[in-house]
Amino acid sequence: MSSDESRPPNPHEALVVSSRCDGPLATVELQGELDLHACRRVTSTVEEALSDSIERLEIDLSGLDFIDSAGLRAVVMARDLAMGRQVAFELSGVSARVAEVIEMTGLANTLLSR
Amino acid sequence: MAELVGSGAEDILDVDARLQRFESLTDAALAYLNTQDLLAELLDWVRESLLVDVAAVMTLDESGSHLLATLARGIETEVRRGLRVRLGHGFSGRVASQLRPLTVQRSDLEDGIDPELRDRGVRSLLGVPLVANGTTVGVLSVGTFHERRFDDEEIELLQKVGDRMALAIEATSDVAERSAVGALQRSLVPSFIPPVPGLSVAARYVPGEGRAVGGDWYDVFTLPNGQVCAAIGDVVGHGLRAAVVMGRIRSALRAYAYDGGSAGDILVRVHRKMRHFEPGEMATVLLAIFDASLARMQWSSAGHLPPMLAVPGEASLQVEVPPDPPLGAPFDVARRTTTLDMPPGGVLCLYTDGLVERRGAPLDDYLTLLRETLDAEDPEVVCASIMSDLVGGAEPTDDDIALVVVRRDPPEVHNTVTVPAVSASLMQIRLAMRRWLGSAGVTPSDTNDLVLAVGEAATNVVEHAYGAAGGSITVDVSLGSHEAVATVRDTGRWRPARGTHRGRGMPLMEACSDKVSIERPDTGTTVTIRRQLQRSGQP
Repeated sequence: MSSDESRPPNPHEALVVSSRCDGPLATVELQGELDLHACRRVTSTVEEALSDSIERLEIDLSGLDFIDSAGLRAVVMARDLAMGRQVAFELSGVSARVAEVIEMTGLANTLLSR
Repeated sequence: MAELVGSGAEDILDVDARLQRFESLTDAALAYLNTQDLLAELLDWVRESLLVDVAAVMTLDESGSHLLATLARGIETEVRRGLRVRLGHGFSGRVASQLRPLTVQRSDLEDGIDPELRDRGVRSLLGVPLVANGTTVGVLSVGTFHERRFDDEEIELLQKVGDRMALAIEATSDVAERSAVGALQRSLVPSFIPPVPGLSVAARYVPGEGRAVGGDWYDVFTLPNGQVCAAIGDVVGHGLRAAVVMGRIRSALRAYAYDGGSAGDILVRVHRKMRHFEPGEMATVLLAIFDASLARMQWSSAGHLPPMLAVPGEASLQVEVPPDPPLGAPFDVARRTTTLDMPPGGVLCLYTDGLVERRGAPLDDYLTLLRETLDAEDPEVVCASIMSDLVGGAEPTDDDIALVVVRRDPPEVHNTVTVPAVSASLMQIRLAMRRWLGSAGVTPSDTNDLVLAVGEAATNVVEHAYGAAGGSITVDVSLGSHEAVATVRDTGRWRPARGTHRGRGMPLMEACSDKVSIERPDTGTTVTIRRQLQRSGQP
């Protein structure tokens, strides 16, 4: 666990990143606005969440108010990290607006399962 | 003429002559000596005239409970060691608490000479209190290395010198306190309010006439998520202590606001902190927090005067914020948070009682005058007219005045912001754009797409335009009746993208706008984004 995680997240940060583990399921929750500035935080949280016992990674976007192409890049990198370790990957809480941005960037087939 | 008792009295002048010398000394000294030099001169004179071995001035410290060795002759090390004596204890402490001259003529008496002085060889002591304008400021004492009786004449003489010293000390501490309070006050009132796109702020702080300095403050600051806090307050009491308490409240308020919560929650935490760390202190505070959009605000009042609000095209009004007890009041209460919609062009006025309280004038008269003076104008203009109508011309005010005027800017045709080309600026650009577009009544759907398209262009600048030296990004948004034109400019050189999963920015920009054009001369890159608007009408 990094020192960052032992500190409660500042509720005023543009993006609050939190993670929890429940057996084989790791959930990373993103609240706020995901842009280039927060990408590295998301990637490092995902890396830490992917411990040996994890079989599934869920990225919860239900609290996400904004995402751009750099933010989506971080989500795709999370997916790649999971796949590389044979961990199942899933996006949850995708709002209409986030889905729209995913469609516009041509990532629907990669990120959205239908 | 009384006889002088004690050794060595024969070869010195009589008391009258010594007194005369003393008068001339202080008169001459008055003209040019600062307090420290004056005390030193008088101390040397006392030592010579009374034929004593040691002489010392102890002054009351800030707490009022201890005497601190300030200046000494013959026992200088005590000053350097910072000798402190509690009031009522030790020789000097008893002189100060009993407020009359005391002598110790025999070293073997109980309640006698302080151990520090006895160790230095002092056998007899005479001390007089230093009192100026009814205030005890310290103790002047003299001592000898042999046992000696001081007579009434000598006691009277020392008291005269002490009275002169007391006046000088009191005058200095008054000046020192006032200049310290002034310096502290200046350091605590923000000298520069960081520009917030979409918000105009102006403020005034005027110290009161006379001694009533310190205690009023204001603050305007932003939080990382774009919320803007405006606070104003008034610490009960005046002087250095009030100014110090004010500084602590200001810091606590910023820290708790940074930790999050409603305006009422934040004041609850400041209140608890004050009750623990500054018991007995009280302050009225009004805290207003604007949403990142600036369209809505929430506030909480700890017994502070109600804010005034001016909206374009409407009469100004006094906003009824339900007041809860002052911070630091000796009980805990739930604190209420109320909200208010802020229309574009709306002006909020926060102030302290010094602005509206005048001796012999009803508070309501000045509140009415303030309300009538307040207009939905540029805050600098508003501040100037409030100060001129309520303060200028009238008799000087006794109390400090703090005034903060904040406006949610009305829609502009041209809106520009320049930020450093770093990733943290991307949020700032989005905040500025949402405020401009929100104020102009642009629909959420148009706003989201424009914010996304401009963000992509700006992200590109952050990632590729500059080398290690860095640079800036300028975003300009022009709003016509049916079209928005946004430009994103840098002065760097385009560098190719590296790494995987890149190159999705351009398609996103195009999907979110009607036309994207890129100019790339040697002087930098300008991306122009155009989009037709579905206006929801002027708000």
